[in-house]
Amino acid sequence: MRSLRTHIFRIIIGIAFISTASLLSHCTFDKVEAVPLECDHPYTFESNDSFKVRPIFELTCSYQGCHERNASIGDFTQYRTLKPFIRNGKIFRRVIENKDMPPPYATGPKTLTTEELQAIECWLAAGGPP
Amino acid sequence: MKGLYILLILILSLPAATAQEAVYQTFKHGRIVTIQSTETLKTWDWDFYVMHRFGDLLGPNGGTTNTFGLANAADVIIGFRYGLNDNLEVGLSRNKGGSPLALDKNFNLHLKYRLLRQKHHGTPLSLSVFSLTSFSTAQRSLNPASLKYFAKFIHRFTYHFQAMAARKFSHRFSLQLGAGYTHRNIAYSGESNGIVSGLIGMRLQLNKIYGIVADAAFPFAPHIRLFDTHQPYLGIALEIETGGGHIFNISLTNARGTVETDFIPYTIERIDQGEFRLGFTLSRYMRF
Repeated sequence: MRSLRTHIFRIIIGIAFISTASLLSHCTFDKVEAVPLECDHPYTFESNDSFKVRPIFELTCSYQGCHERNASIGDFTQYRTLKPFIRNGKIFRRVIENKDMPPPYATGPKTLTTEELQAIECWLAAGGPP
Repeated sequence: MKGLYILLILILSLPAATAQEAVYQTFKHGRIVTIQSTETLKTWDWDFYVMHRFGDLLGPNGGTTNTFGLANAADVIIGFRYGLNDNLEVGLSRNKGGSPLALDKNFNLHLKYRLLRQKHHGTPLSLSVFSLTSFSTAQRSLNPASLKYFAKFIHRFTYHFQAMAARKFSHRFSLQLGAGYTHRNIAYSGESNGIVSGLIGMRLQLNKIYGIVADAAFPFAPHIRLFDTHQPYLGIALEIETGGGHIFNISLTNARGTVETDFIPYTIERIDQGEFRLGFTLSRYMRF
């Protein structure tokens, strides 16, 4: 029993050190690509009638079964409850950078158009005004 | 005469033996609340643990509509640790991935080595080093701006190294200080791949069964503005040792993640907005 344990011990140590050494020799310092932003219009959530992002949210996020009123995952129907998500950067990370929102299982549109993404990104770049 | 010498040697060696008596249970588990402690398992001991972090307690995602976060799971980790000898442990775990910014669906392999053990009237502190390799099995994203685009296979790996020193000041109070380095093979544009962190943890024994543990991690990197873009990880827990190698804690933490490669670089949850959560750790020690 003792010798079996010694063998197991040696094998695990060997695997651990070889794998650690081989992984460390593969450290990379890569970054995801940044896309330059061109914002010509002063986007707001709803206060500027010509350039507002609320219709995008209504179409792609805040419909029934998703980010609806009082939703546990976040209520995006009104600016007051959406604001924490703008401030902590989650909207930007998930919609603009990761593009995993809307998710593949969404009942509404599963992706945003380039124009919609550009509008949201410009709105967020301006601090996400109401 | 020979017997007298042996007796004399035994008597002389007695104080030395007691003086060098090791200090045990500086912390009761390999983790304080979430960060690693200096503790390693004994030879051939197994530890099976499950850690769970729920959704936000308060704020827009918490409150009564979400039963104070119990309706949502932020992160779940299930893992084994194994003591190869009294100073070296190896562990394998799988976590869901807590932060929406981090790589998720990870397998984590860790090694922890105890360099020094605190002794009564001898070594003043315990010193351990810890190394973690995290491998993401997440599905590839089609978006090149996502961390999960995985242009190279190596981008799935994240590493964390940590050194920590702990001292048990009395049977009631232990304190730990540490420093960590987290390396991400792929980072968001404008962010640095490496993150240095300062770690602190403490334990206060209330009575034979109950104890309070608390820990914190402060990340430092050029892109991190602490208390603005990023928040330090903070955790506090009530630890209950029910006996027979069973340790249980109920915690409050701001971070969603349970693994160093998640909660050190990606904690953005603000306590003042109710973005902290309940959690628990179940741990069971076994010996084969």
